[in-house]
Formats: sequence, C-alpha cells, structure tokens
Amino acid sequence: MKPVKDWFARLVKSDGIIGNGHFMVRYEDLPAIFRYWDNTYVFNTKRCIGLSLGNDPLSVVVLIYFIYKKINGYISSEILADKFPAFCDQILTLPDHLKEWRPDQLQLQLHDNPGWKTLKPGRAIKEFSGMILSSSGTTGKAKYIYFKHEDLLRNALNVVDRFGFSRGQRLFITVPVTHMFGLGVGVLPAVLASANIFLTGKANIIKFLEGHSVFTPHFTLVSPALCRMAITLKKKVHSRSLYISAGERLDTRSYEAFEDQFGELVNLYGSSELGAIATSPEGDNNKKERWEGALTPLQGIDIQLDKRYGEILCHHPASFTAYLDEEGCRMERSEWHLTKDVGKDCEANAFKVSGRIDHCVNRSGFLISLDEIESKLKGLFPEISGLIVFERPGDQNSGAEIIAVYEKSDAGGPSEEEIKLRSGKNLNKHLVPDAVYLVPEIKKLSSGKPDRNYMKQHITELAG
Amino acid sequence: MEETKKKIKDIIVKDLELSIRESDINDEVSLYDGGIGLDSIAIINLIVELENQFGISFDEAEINAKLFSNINTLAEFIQTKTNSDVLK
Repeated sequence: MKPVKDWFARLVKSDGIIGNGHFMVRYEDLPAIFRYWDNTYVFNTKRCIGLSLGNDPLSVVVLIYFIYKKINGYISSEILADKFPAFCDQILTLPDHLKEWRPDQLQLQLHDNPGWKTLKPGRAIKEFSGMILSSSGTTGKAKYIYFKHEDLLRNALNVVDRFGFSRGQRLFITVPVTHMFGLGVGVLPAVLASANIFLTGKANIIKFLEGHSVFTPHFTLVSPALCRMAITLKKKVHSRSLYISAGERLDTRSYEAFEDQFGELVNLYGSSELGAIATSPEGDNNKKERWEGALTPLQGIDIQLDKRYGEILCHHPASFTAYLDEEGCRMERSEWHLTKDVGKDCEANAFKVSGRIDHCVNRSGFLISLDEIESKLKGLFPEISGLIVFERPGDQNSGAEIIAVYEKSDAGGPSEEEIKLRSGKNLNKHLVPDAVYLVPEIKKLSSGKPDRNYMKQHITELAG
Repeated sequence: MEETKKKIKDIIVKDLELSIRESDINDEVSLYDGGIGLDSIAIINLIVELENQFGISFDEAEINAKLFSNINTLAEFIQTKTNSDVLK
C-alpha cells in the first residue's frame, strides 16, 4: 500500500464541493475555515475530542480538519451524542442552522465531557494520532477502535485505486459518514481524489431518487436495505452510477433485480477494524460471480480461512492499531485479524462470505448460516421491513430449530403461514425456518442493529 | 383540488393502514421527516398507491423531497399530471 502525500494541497486547488442540497462547502474554502478554527479553538492533540456528527457537509469538513491536523477524535453520530466514552475530554457539536456563513467565521461548539473529569486521562490516547470509531457488534457492548490518521488515509487510497475515483467525479453518500463504510469508502477516498461529495441523511427512496436527478453521481454508496426498497418500487433509473453496498449481501434474485433497474452494484466487504477488505468483481462478464457473492481482496490484503471453523482471517497493512477500553487504554490485538465471519470457496484471489460465525448452526450435518437464511427470506419478501433469524434448541432428535421473526409493517405484509409456504417452495430444505413469528416490533440495540439475544429470550411472549 | 387532497389522505389513512386519522393530516405538514413521519416502506407504498388509484406514473426524475413535502404540493402535482394525461 502506498503512503499518502500532499492530499490536502491537491484538494484545495480543486474546484470540488461537499453539498447536500441545502448547504455547500467548496474545497477551496477549507484553508480559510481551518485558519479560523486554528485561531479560535485549542484542540489538545494529546487528548481526544468527542465529535457529534451528522450526514452533512459541515460534519465532513470537521472530519477533514481532524485528519489533516492530526488531532485525536472519537467519531459519534449525533443521534447517540449523549453518550461519550471517558477518554474524550471535550465534545464538539455543530451549529443547527447555517443560513448565512463565512469560511473565516464558521463557529463550532465545544464543551467539557462530564464523564472524563472523574477518570484518569487516557494513557494510550496521548501517544496516538488518530480517529476512534465504536463498534457495538451484535452484543451491544461498545468496542473502541483506534485507527491512525495515516492508516485511514492509506485505506482510503486503496479504495480510490480499486474504484478509480478521480478529480471532478461525483460521489453520492446515502450511508452514515460516522461509520467506516461512509467514512472509509465514501468521504476519505472522495477527498483524496478531489471528487465532489453529495450527502443525504436518513435515506429513503425519495431522497435516493432526488439525489440521482440533482447530482447525477458517478458512484453511489447505498445500504442493502435501501437497495431492497428501491427494487420494490420497480422504477428504472437511467444512471451511469456504480452502486457500492456493504454489510449483509443481497440474495442473488434481489441483486439481479437491482442491477436491472438501476445499474451495476458492487458488494464491498469490510469492517470497522479493517476498513475496506474486498469487493465483488465489476463488469458484465462477472455478473454471475458478483451476484453469487464472489469477493476479491483489495491490493496488499491477504485472506485465509481458519482450518477448524472456516473463519475468515485477514492481514491488512493499513488496519486499526488497537482496541481501547473506556479510559483509552490499549488492548491487545493479533496480527491476523479474526473477522468472526465464516468464509468459503477461498482460492488464490477470491473468496465468499457465508455469514457471522456466531450465526451458524449445524443442521443435519450441514453448517448453515443464519445470515444466509435471513438474506434469502428478505429477498423473497422485500415488503417486510424487519426480519431476523436465530436458532432455538430443539429436542434430541431434531437438533436446533431455526426461527424467523419479522415485524409488522405499517403497510401490512405476508402472514406467518405465507412465509412458511413460500420459503418451503423456494429455498433449499436446510434453509427453511421451523417456525415463523410475527411481532409488533423487533427490539433494537443503541446501534440500530436487532437485539437478537432479547428477541430470542422473549419470542414466545412477544409473538403472543 | 379538494377532492384530490381528500383522496390522497384516504390512501394514507386507509391503504397504508397507519395509526393516524384523516383529521390529523394537515395540508401543509411534511409527510415524512418532522411531519406525519411516513417510514421508508410506507413512502414506497404511498407512491405505488398514488400511481394505481390516480392512474398516473411518476417519472423517476419527478420523485423529490419538495413534491412529497406535503399534501398541497402532492395534490397540485397529481392534478396537473392527470389533466395533462387527459389532454393526451
């Protein structure tokens, strides 16, 4: 992986912008904004500032400032902003409304983090120069992931090379910039390439289609949920955008439908700890491989499967440096990162992801991924807004039972019987749920992910 | 125009099966963010129902936040669209 040099000088000489339809910042205005912040605020680089950010141009400017100036920042969504770890001494928030503003007077709001005062200053933080992200995983317990600024940039440069982002191109980001996907595959690669950025928060189909009409992007970052919604509407968009999705993979049928309606969709495999790891192959000749989940690692990244369980191990030259605890102390990590995903078909330059290792069950001698079942059911029933699959201990003869739980949508949806019937007809018998429950709501963790443990424990009472 | 507004409200209340009364939908209140709060799925269903019940088809480029900002803008657009379809 190459080192990243002179990126800021190149960026401010470009005529690019960061916008969202309401507010716009030109890259050429960044030096004036940064001079004002340098002269107005004291950011101690040996400590860490908690950043309460949204999906807006000013939040992106703050991220660029912290990375360029090598200030430690903990990145948090403004939705979760009441909860900052004890290693943040101050919290930075952004003004609500900016109707009229000048680059040399763009004000920020800084206040002390009350939680920090009662604890020792983070020991490891003062040796660092980087950004910290949190990852709740599936358990709800936050892990703090420390990334050196330079490694975030090297990771982003790898993405630039992989997708060929270039100056003047337009990147539409519909996913949160406070997460690694939006930051490491969207914002930072666009900045390194001096490409234009268009942002939307709380993405829905209207904002998605409007962003396309207004911004005519070359690249669009989308979530799998938005892809499914877009398929349901059955509109065709005449777009030259390459769509990039991350997280759970769409099932083959949905993948095909999305590409037919909108255009080529690349699946990106990555994590908060490692950034971008691999992508599905592009081009008409690689459609089948892409739809079936084939992935190719980005430059300099090595993948292996653990011999015992098939867990994906990854060696990444620009990955995170350490996990931190609440006080900012360093926790150990290994050189080969255990992704907690199960892989298959791993060859010299390609592999596939079956699902999370803690979401796999042995069924009649087959290792079945619950994520795969979830993905296939969502593909069969795109009108369902929330659906999870988990295992429940069965009797001695049948082994574990597979349970599917879905929540009632405001606009109705299929019955439990209909789901059982259609999944029986369309899925391999090992993938068909033993029981299907409709619940009023699937409980979520603070990260927005389903609280699987809660649902597993309370399913009988919730399903009534 | 009033008839069109009434029909849109009927679709929101009856066809989307939302826990909302017609009298709660002000003509100027936002349909999603900060307004009556249609979620992502409900927005899609609203578009589909409007197309079916008014016999129109939204062009992809016509679907934008301003159009769906409230009942007034939506009714005005649908009225124009249906009139232009009749003329054709």
